[in-house]
Amino acid sequence: MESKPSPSTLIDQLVVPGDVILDLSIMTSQTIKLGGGLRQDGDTISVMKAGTLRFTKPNKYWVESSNKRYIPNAGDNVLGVVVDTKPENFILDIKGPALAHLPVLSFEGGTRRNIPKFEVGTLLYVRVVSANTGMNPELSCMDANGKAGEYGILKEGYMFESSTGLARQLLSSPPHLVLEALGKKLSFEIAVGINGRFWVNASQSSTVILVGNAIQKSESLSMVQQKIYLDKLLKSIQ
Amino acid sequence: MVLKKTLQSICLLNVHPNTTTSIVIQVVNDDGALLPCAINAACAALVDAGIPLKHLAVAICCCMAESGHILLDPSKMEEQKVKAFIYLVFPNSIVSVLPQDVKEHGIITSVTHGAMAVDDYFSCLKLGRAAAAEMSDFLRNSIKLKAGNDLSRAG
Repeated sequence: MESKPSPSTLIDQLVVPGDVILDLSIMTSQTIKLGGGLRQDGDTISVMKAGTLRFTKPNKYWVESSNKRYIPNAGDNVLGVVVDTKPENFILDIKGPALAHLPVLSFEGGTRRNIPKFEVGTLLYVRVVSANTGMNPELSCMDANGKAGEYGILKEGYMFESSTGLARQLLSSPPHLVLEALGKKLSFEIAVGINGRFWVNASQSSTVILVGNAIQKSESLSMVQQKIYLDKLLKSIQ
Repeated sequence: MVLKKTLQSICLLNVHPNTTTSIVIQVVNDDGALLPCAINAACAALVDAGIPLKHLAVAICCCMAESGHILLDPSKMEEQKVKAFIYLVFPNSIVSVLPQDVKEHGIITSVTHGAMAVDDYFSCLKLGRAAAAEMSDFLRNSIKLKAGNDLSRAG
């Protein structure tokens, strides 16, 4: 009876490219799932990107890192900007190495008769359906069940750029400190794409600017510094 | 050319086929050991950008002074006066769950200028490897500092 593999001793620690995290020769007939940032090098699993090694039971390993560039993965929700329209697809820029294709029929109730007309520069909230290396990623404006959900065009407001790490923090629960604090005093709408983009909309443009700048600034501040910054900011807008 | 080959050997280019990784290096100040400095800077930039790498490259410069002593990291003046100097690039020292292995003794690049005895070259190599281990730790700590800032605000 094979005993369960003990998780790597490097979990939740910083790893840099070259570090070896698992020795496969001592684990036989186990299935391990490797996420981003790891590769198999003969009989060992080694690290490709610097970041924190994460593990979830039963057998998933990945490296969590924050970069300015985004690598598309299936299942991600991203903000894309239309750069071109073709008869079969819209071409979107999702901040990855290749432009992504959004089929014209992948909208709820989409038929050849009611193809939406998006101009170049339109901002869309889309889901990445598939992202294989060497191919352009495929997108969709429907969720897995075929419903529109939150996907589609984002009108008005403004889009800001961030790193992928900040985007993940903004999407995590409990809500990010900045969003909670700003949400208590101001009312605004926000859409966060895991590709390092977020869109803010509010009734007044000054609110949009305030929220966008506050979020971008919070990335370089520690928790304590953020609290101080937000207190000062919210006092000054009264 | 040496710079390109060195960086090419540490990048994993087949993870993103059909793409170009473009590295721009701008010399702000040259006080000797320009090539090792450029390699260290490019490596740090690649790690920061999240480009997949096999391991990090740590570059140092060693020179043989007239007196027979070996100097590490010479300044521009020193570099011009010595009879020979070498640029060496090693892979970084890694943290591993395996008992320590062959990688410890790898070398990526060696560029020599001037003439020196074979024994001197080997002692430079030994010294250089020790220096590279120190620099490797420094690099790891710097990466930790930057990543640590991001982690401290995890939701």
